[in-house]
Amino acid sequence: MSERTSEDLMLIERAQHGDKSALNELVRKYEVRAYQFAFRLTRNPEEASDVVAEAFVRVFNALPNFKGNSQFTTWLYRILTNCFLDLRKREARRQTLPLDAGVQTDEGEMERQYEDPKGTPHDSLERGERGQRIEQALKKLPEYQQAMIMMYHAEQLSYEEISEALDLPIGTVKSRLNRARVSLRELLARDEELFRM
Amino acid sequence: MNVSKARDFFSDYFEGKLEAGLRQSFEQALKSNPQIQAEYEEFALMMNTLAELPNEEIEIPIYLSDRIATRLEAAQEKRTASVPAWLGWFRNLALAGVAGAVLFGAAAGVLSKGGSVATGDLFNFGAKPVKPKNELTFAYTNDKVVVTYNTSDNRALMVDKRRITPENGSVISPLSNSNAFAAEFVIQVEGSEVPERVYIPGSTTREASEGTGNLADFAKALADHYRVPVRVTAPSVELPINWNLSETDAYQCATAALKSQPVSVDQRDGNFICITGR
Repeated sequence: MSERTSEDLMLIERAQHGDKSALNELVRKYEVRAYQFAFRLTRNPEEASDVVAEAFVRVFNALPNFKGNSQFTTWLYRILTNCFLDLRKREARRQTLPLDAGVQTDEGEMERQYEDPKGTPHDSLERGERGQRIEQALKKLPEYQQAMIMMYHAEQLSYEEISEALDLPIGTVKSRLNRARVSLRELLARDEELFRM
Repeated sequence: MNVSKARDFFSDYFEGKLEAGLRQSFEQALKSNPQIQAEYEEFALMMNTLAELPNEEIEIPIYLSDRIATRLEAAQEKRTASVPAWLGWFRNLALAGVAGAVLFGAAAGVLSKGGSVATGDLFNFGAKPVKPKNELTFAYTNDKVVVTYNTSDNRALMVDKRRITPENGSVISPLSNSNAFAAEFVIQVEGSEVPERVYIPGSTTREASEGTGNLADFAKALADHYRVPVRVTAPSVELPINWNLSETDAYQCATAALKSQPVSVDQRDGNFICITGR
């Protein structure tokens, strides 16, 4: 067992026994990492902060049941992924207006204005063009596949850790991750064709 | 091997994990089928780009720790019956966390004293969960005080006579002082009776000396000599104080100077010396 893992388990045990500083320490230790993962999934600071806050509440509520069979980090990734999936489900339920519907104002109907999800021109310049296209293509993948890709490529979790986090057999993780990558390549290829037109 | 089957092996082949027999078949397909070859080349290029994902710099919002703490407090309140003594300790987490987050957070929106006075607008953050009350918290880091205000009834916050309307119930306002000597900021929730005064040390360290003045003068002397932020929560600062800055730390100095005054002294919230009227 690594030093980090055993330290986390000690903190969890202390938190389970009501030590107020232990959960505090766990949150401080992992809030940045949790936020980075959540931001990579949502690409939105507000949503990412909500995902992280909700995840730590779930950690707090579920602490008494945490048996230490998995690492705290993989457990946290699982909770973060679930919070992200729940956020997207809630959003899907809320979307009742068609995107192109106008807005009625005192001065008549106005066109709805949407924030450009690609960010500012400055952001665009900072990231490589290909990286940016991958980012856009990733958004089109099912949320579950996005999470897997981010866990492996951005968070650099091993297949074993992803398997633990998502409670899936390792073979399933590998095949689903391959499927996600192949889909991503197809999306990028379609995007490339559009560029050539 | 057809195209569809070959795609199943893209990841394993890229990672060199395909067993010998399958690898030979796959390589054969790569040579003989231009579509497989083209798709795999794109796949490999994409994998190399994905490998750069961990290098992306992600800025941590200044309000992250506070948001976590607010949610945890709400969760804790639901569970109050079982562990009442915990109530409130998440707030300390937020203060320390915000302090840490400031290091990563945006530098915009700092209200400052000294130099060109205000260097930016105060900024508001929204999307807060349900909050049970009007709550002001303070954190100190990198010579700045970060004021976090959460309100359940959307009352405005006054900072040095500037009125800030919360959006969705929240305001986060960093304060800084570039003067040579300590600066006072008066912070008050609109409609509340007692203002909060925050004293931020200036760039010059005051020498140990005796002094006389009111509570505000003492708070400034304390801030400048011991390099600590001071918070005063009292209806008025017009209390006559005699002080001696020869004590070893700010808390002892404040306790000694204020022992006969109707105020209490403690040190909390990221080393703030807190002076509270009784």
